[in-house]
Amino acid sequence: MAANFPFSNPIAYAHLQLRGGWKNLLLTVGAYALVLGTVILATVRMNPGTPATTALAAWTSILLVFQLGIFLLFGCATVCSALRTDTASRMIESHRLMPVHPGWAVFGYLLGAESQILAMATATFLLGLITNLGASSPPMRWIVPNVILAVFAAFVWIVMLFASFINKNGPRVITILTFIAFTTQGMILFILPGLTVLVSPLIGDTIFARRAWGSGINQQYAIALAAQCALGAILFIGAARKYRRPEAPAFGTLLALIFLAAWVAVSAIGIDRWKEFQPTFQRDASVGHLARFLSSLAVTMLLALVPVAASARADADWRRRRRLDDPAPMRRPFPPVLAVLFAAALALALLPVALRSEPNVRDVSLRTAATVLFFLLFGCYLLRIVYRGGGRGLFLVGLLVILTWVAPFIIDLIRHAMTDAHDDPVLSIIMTFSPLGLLIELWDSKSMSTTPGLAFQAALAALAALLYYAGPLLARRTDLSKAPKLL
Amino acid sequence: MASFFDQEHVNLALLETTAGTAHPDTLLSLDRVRVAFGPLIAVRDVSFNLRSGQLLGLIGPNGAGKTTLLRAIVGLQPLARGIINVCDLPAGPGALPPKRFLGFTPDTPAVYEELTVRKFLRFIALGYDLDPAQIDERVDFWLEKVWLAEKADQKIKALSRGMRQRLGIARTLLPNPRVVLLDEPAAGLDPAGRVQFRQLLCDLRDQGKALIVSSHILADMADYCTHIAIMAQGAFLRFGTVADVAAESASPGSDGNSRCRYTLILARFVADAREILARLPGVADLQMDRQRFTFDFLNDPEQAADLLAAIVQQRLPVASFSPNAPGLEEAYLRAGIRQVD
Repeated sequence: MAANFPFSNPIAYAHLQLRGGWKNLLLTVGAYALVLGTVILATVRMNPGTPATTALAAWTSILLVFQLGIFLLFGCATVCSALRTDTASRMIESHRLMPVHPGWAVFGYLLGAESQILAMATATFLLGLITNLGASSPPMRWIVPNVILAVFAAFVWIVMLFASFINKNGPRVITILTFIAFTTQGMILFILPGLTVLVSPLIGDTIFARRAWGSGINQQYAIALAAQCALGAILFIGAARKYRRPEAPAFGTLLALIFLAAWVAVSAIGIDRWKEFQPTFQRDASVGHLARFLSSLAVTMLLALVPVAASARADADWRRRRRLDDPAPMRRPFPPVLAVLFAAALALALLPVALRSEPNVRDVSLRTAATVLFFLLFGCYLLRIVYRGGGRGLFLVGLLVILTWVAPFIIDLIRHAMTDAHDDPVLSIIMTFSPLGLLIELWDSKSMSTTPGLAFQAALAALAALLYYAGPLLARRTDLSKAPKLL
Repeated sequence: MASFFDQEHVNLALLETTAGTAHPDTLLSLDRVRVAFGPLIAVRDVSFNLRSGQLLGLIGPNGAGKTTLLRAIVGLQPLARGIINVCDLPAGPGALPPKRFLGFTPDTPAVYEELTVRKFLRFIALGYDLDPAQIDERVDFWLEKVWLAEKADQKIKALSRGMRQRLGIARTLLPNPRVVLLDEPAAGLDPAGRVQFRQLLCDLRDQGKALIVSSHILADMADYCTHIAIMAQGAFLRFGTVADVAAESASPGSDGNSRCRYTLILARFVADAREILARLPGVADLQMDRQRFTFDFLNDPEQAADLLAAIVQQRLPVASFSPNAPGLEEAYLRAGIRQVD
């Protein structure tokens, strides 16, 4: 089998055959290269006024755009469609019957579904290499952007594949979010430096700039590539877990904590080295260091719910199996409260980045830590209640969490709209009842007291814990009152 | 033959794990397996051992949990609790090693419509890491065996339902699994195909494989199964060798006496025959189809002779009167399942 690598991979083999096999692949790519090569040659020959080197340099840039389109547009669409088709036709169940390692199976999707894309990209790369040489440009100016783009494309394919494994509409959601990011002129990149680091081949010092002026891979790209590789590897493992057991979460507690740690590290680097990573468009966008820190912290708090949820789910499963006297008992999972503590510690690892520009804020730091901890405890107990009930109502938990974040702002806005006083501030102490509002007030002090908001967060967490622990007692009492009398 | 279904191994929460007591030939063992979909329990604490050369027929109405049980065994359905061992290896979702020994054909096998039959089976061979030198030979062997050799280079989308069913069986048997699970395998087959398929099952059984076949064609199952399980609401209602289960159709009635089903055919239609028969002592569960009547009565030739005399005395024109031979259909109906698929 090793002799046939990589097509000893059954899923890669099947998807290659579904696309017509080697013969069709070579024919399609050959035709593509021939047409493109002819067009390039014709344009150079038909413009005697333009020096060939200039025309070929222009073509090299155009080929990089082609490469971008092939890798990102066609590549993402193909890999998502391959998995969607297998899921709809239940072929994926047939795959799961085979003794194929999940990682090898996911790799098979990437390789088999993308076989045509990879072949076209190779053809484009070779054509580009020729045009680049014709333009008397150093080969590295073509090779380096292609390597960067290939790694970035592999990362994006894994993200899309992961999203497809999580939910059939996952890739659609990512596409919509990307569209929103475009229509808002990339504002999300200004407030989420972690994301900026990950997409740096397309913004900041882009691959196009690399091609035009640079040659080697600088430190900024090295960081971006490392971040893409780290997060890509975690998501790949998540996709493989989802392939293996579709009913189980993609991330177990440990993997989710590793994912959170990677995200925090990437965000911290992005915040700390903003000048290097910031997008080249809208260089004068007035988003401050504090805003980047706060928005990163807020997103990290939400992501911290992933390990907490994984732990709550595993704990509920363990308790249920124990209650059922399972002959194959599970090993005791990571305690959810410990997962909360770890997740909170990781989220708070962003604090040192903020403290560089805002020293002497010990009290603010402590209150921030308390806010994060209370929020995660609140989420943890809500999730434990839901998973104890078999996982129904997860949507309601999401809604409730969003409500606790957004509702205080909405109430504040309504209060402001209803008041007659002109000097009334838009946001008042009410907003501090939201974790986000509380963080904003803590770090961008408008001299409002944050104690009531903090107490509210503590009360929410305590209430959720009370509901979790008192729930079974209440249910038992209700059952006893309803139960028929035993003789 | 010693029954592989020990009474206490089935549906009893009290029982000890079967793992320690399994026979050395045991290829598949289930210990208190439960599958739940939220509050609904689809498979209810099922335990049994299946040995080499045994073929278990799984029968029951729609929604009884047959398919869910088969899917749980092959690891497509997570367990709420319980242990499944395949060839002494713990099975379940995500467990890779037992998959080498398991073959499963669902009721509608999933296929890649755009692939040819041969390429599809090559893909399966790769999935089971078969020796590349043997792949083509094995593919040809199984195509021949399931009567698809002529269709080898046709695209699967051009195959009929029955042919797809055969392809599904070839897909299952290609890696030579030791435990074979087939869900409604004969559903799409024509009469000739069913006969050939029956022979194939007997061959596999005789080769020492352990098989579970879920089917609604009870007459066929009596021919090739060594054991039968009647399933309803996720639990096994009856289990044992075919003869044991069939014999249970002559089970004791509420009065403690053994009862069985009788068929009475009248020479001509008599309008009040039903009322007359219903009045006779001991006759129960009377069913009528014009001149043909079936009913429960004591499983005793003397008592049956007296009943026949009483019927004749009532001036009913008896053309035929006989006890029904014990069979799976009887056993199935007697298991308290009225919904027949």
